[in-house]
Amino acid sequence: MSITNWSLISLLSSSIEQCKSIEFMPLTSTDEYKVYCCCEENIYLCLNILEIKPIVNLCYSFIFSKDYQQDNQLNISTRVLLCYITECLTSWNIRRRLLLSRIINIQEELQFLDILLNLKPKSEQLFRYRRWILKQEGIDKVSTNKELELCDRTAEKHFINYASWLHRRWIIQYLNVNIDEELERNRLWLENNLSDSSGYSFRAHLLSKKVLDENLIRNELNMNDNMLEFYYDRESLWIYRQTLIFLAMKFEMIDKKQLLNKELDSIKNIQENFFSNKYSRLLNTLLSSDGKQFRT
Amino acid sequence: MGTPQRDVKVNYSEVQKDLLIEKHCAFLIGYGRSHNTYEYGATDYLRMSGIYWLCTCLDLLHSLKLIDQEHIIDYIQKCYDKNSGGYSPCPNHDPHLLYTLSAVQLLVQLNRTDLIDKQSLCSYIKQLQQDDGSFIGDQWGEIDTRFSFCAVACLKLIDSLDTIDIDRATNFIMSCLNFDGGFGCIPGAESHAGQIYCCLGFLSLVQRLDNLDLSTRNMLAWWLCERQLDKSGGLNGRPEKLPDVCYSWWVLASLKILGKIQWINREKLSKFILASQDDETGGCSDRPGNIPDPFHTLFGIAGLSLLNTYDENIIRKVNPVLCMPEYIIQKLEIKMQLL
Repeated sequence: MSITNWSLISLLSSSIEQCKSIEFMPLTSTDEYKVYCCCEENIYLCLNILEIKPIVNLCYSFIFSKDYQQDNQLNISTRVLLCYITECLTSWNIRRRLLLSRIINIQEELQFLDILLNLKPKSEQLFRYRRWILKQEGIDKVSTNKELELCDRTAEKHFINYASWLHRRWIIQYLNVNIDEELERNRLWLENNLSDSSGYSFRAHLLSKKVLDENLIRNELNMNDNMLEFYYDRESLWIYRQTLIFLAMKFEMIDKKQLLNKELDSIKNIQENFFSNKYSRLLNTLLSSDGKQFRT
Repeated sequence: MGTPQRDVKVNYSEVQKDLLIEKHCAFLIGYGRSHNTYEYGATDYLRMSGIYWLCTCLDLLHSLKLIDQEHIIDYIQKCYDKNSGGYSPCPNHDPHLLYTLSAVQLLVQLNRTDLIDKQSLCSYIKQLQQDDGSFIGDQWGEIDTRFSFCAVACLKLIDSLDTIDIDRATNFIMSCLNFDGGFGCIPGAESHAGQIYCCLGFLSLVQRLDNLDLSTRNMLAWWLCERQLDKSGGLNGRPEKLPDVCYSWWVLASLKILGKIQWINREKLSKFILASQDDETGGCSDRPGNIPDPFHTLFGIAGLSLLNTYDENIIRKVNPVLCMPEYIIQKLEIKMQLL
């Protein structure tokens, strides 16, 4: 661990701080010097995917070195490491302590997380840390739109993104977001991402928060009909339909037999395929089920 | 007719059909020794679980003796955090409930429970339980049903389940049950095969599976066996995801707890797991053709064990709740509920 090594990590850290986006790509080193990164106009930072190992090892050696335990040094070494190894909980914990002692500024840290989330849109630890910070910041300072936009972005970047939709559920609850407005946003989002069954699962979650009646379920089924007319080969649409039926069957008031028979009729209008066959098998099972013969 | 489901194409006429036991053992042992490689440093943050995957898999393959057990015991003790009573994944790292379970599983497996400070371990776990019965994984505190499972599994292995409030812990698990019959990581979160395993495992260990009524059990088992993909025969963890060998564990073990493992097409799944072996290096990957790792190797072998594809002389029987060799669970006389 030499001074030059520390300068390298410091340099990387300040590049990460200044840049608006980060990416990993292979860069060519020469005999004379190794290329660790390439920075363009303080906007775009490219980290060399071929030189990950020495940087990670250096960061770890600094993070756990007796001589580099000052707050500003830990801020630097963990910032760099987390770009490379985002799931390293211990490094996030170090940053939590730095944030509590006000070495790290909340707004700057949220910005850092924004950029990292573009790089690692499904990182569980990143989202957990973000929620922890938002709780530190206090409920009135959190920007609902910013968080919802971040959820949209990460959900689009990574298909069926569990961590992103979990964050969204938390935001809705924590900030008491209006469910009807959220249902409308979700409808628009699904129009462009109709194969995303996590998006549909979230929709069902929103519905379950409302006072449900047969009309509401019927409207959802109609919307699903319209989609199935064009996209009958998308599994997500069929699974959502199944979920709606399960949801409907939760109410005592609904005549289950009538509901299931009506369903069996209505899917006859849709072109038959692998999913529709599976779905009608389920409906028939639910109709005839005595609780024992669920599947043969 | 016949719309394709999101799946991978496996050319079953060309893939590996035999179980490569010796190669897997060599792969696993080599992994434990690869201290100089990048992969080794990059996985520091979960190393304790890595060692558990490796040792459990070797044990299932009757080959635990091939590894330096003293070295591992030494490592575990270096990861013990006296202040909290928990274990970290790697020396210098922070302790966490996830790695505490791995450490306890290892010490039980290596027959060194004498090294566990039961009292501090119990108080460590107890202070992670929240008022609503849920568990946080560490002092920074996010709640997850995975942590509930880790807590009761640890306590069960040291015969101290009464340390925590089981009624409230059970109520929390039940509050994570969704209307599709699945479980998520917190109330209202999307159903996920991994979380379902944790919740069913929890209910099995505290012997409260009766909380699930008949129709919920059926619905849940339906959801689980829908995870088997038609073409490849592999299992996914959620709808529309690609098949992944590790779900051969999470899904199968859950179905085993529910007494419905026969709902899975055994032959097709066995073929998929065997096709995911790397016939050059040994080890299993997430799906055929990818790079193998100890995580998928364990869950592939453990899946084959649950499917009874091979005789016990080849793969030992695995316990479906604790993912440890059954002979150890029998020896300790640990009781759990299976439907």
